[in-house]
Amino acid sequence: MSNEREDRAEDARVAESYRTLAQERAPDHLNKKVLRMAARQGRTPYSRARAWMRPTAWAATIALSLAIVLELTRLPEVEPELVDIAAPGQAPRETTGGVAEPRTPAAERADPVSMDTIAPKDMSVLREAENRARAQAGPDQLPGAPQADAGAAPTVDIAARKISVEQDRHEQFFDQQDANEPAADKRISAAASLAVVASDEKASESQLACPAKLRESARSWFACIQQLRDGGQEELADTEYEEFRRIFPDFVDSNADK
Amino acid sequence: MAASAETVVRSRPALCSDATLPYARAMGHTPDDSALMLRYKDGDIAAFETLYRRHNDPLYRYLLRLCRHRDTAEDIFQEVWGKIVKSRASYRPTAKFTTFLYRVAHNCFIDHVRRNKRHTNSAELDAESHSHPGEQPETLTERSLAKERLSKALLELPDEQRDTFLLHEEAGLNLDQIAAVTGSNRETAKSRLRYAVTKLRAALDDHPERP
Repeated sequence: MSNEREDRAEDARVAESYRTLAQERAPDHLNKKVLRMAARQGRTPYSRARAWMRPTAWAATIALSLAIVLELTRLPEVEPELVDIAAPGQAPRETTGGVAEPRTPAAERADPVSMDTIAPKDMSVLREAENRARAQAGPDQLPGAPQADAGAAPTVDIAARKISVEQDRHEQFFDQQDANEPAADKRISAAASLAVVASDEKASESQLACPAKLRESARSWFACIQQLRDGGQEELADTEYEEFRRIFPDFVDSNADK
Repeated sequence: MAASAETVVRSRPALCSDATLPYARAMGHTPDDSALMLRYKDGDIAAFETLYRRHNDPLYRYLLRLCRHRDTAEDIFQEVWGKIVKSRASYRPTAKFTTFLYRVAHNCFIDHVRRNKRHTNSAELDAESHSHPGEQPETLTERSLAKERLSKALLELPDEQRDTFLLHEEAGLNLDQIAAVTGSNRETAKSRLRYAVTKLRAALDDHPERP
């Protein structure tokens, strides 16, 4: 046992002596040579590609970002005039005489919604308005029928006449249009103007059933309503009567009492 | 005796100490040799450099003492690392990397011996290693004289015994690993190591080798 312990101690002494003896280090030139060789052979195709892929990726990212920024700064600003036109709920622009101004293609592109609102889809709307006016004027006012009783419904006659005058005016407008202007533009602008006129006439029909002068006094207005009713225009008379009752709720017809 | 030799190995500082790995303390753990080799296999050059810094000096000393000729040792040193680099694609961490490295080195040395018998007559290392230009012979202490004798005795050892002793001291391999590197069995390795240590101890004591 003691011999074994002595042997261990002696072995340790040999190992320690060897360690103090062996202090050599690998020369630097050898280290560099080996590491250079390892670096040269150790690169995988991916790591070789990585050397140029990273700067390329950065350059591409910067170039794309610059391109996007430049594109955004070059975008044209929206003209305030077009913004006003495109604002919802606004009436279409009109020239003097109640005819809608022909719109330029740029304006149409900028404001497609407003064009849809003012332009009828087809002429059936206009015909419908005309027929309604004729129906209100009486059976004699139907197309092709002679005008017999003009004095019975003067206000309706006035409305019908206005429509026909407006139609004539629009026909003249078409004639005056430049031949180079697209036909579609002509149709759209004419339809828009006619629609405006029709809506105006529709609004004025109720107003003109009894003129403003007759409406000033309850008695004269009521007499006008009676006259409408006698003339067979029951709908107009009812409308007028509703409005009459709204303004003069306490009016009592003395003739009726009698 | 073999147990005492293994005790000596365990008392040696670890090969992968903080001195050889500057970032080891900061990272909190030391990458394994096999892990570094696998990283190098994937193209991580820095991993190879770490691995190389761990093993370059012990391997150099092993080859220097084994070949007894500096130029030959450097040639074999480059050859060994060249083979390690080339074998990275087929490397499998089935055994300890140190065993793999020194087996390659041992085989390279054997090939060199077979190719060229010159190394047996070379005494270059002997002359270089033991010259002390700054010291007069009369000022040398007993200790340095003992080292002189140890170095001379080491170089005079038979190749197999010197190989076994160096694998034990420089590579830190145990008997089984030495047997695997040298292609012998454990008992042979144990016997060679014992003979080598006995001769060196005798040289240190400066008395004739006991039979």
